[in-house]
Amino acid sequence: MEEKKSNGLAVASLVLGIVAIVFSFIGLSIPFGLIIGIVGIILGVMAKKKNPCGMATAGLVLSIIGTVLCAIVFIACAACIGAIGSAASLA
Amino acid sequence: MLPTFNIFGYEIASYGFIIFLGIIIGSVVSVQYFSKFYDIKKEDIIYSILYGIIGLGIGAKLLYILTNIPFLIENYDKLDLWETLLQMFKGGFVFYGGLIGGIIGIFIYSKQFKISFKNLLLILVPVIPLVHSIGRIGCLCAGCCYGMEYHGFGAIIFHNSNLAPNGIPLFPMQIVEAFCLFIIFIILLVTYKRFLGTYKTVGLYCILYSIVRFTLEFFRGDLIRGIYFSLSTSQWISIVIFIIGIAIFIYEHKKTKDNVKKKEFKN
Repeated sequence: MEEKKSNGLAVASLVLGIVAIVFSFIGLSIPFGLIIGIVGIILGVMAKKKNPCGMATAGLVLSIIGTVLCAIVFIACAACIGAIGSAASLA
Repeated sequence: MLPTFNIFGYEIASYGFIIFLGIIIGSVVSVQYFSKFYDIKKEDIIYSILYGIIGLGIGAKLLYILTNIPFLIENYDKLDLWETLLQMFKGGFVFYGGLIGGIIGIFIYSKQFKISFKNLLLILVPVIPLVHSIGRIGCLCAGCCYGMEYHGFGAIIFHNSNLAPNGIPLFPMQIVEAFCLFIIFIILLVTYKRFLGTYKTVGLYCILYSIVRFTLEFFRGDLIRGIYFSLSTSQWISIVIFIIGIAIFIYEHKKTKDNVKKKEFKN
């Protein structure tokens, strides 16, 4: 039963990882890809800890790749403010 | 300076890319060096780093939103809601929020999989200034976290930045902070063995970084930041972090003294 549950987590992580990677290439869906990738990472870690199978590893790795791709494309600026200020000045 | 660059026609944000590089370097250093001193599996360190990064992102973003609430309320009529939401998601993180969020992320991991939180923290804390230092170079590329107007040695002039004022010589805030953070990392590295098994490394980091941040905040030029009683949000948090650092040292000192007394009593 426990193995089945962790397999489910591994499959979910794999699917979310793939979706995150696909989303990282489609402009408007990148923010969603970031969130999906993060969920994929958490599920991947849980699956790896419960039953370290190949699918869990693949799910975790793909989720990390998807999240990183989304993050480095999307997160343009930074550890500070400015962004809202520029939005305000544009409006 | 260089907010984005192209790889195979794919536009990459320098800030995100450099932060990513910093996290990779920090993870390698913690797994290869700092993990040697504690009995924790390397995979657990990597997973806890992942949890920590997630916590860091959420914490940094939440504090950013919190510090901007007064600005949002004030300019509610002028702002385009959708554009503002997108900009809020896209840019703007507050480091202290990230630090607290990251520690919460590591705490959740340690509780979820029953691993010593103390050991995880002691392995990961020394690399925080290293990652942060590299991240500040990302700030320089993005043109954010810039300094005040300054005409002395090492002044930086941005020419086509969307965030920093263009054509005005500015204090090299990002470079100075990156340098200070690297020095903090070296100090933590040198004192690591002496403070082994105690929270003193965490305390020392809290004290050193809060002093650096509190001082450098006076030279910041990005004005749209929360100011309360003539100090910025980060300066107020710096004061709290400094007190926490001192409290950690006092606690550890007392603990060591008690242990010595107990040993003497037994003998």
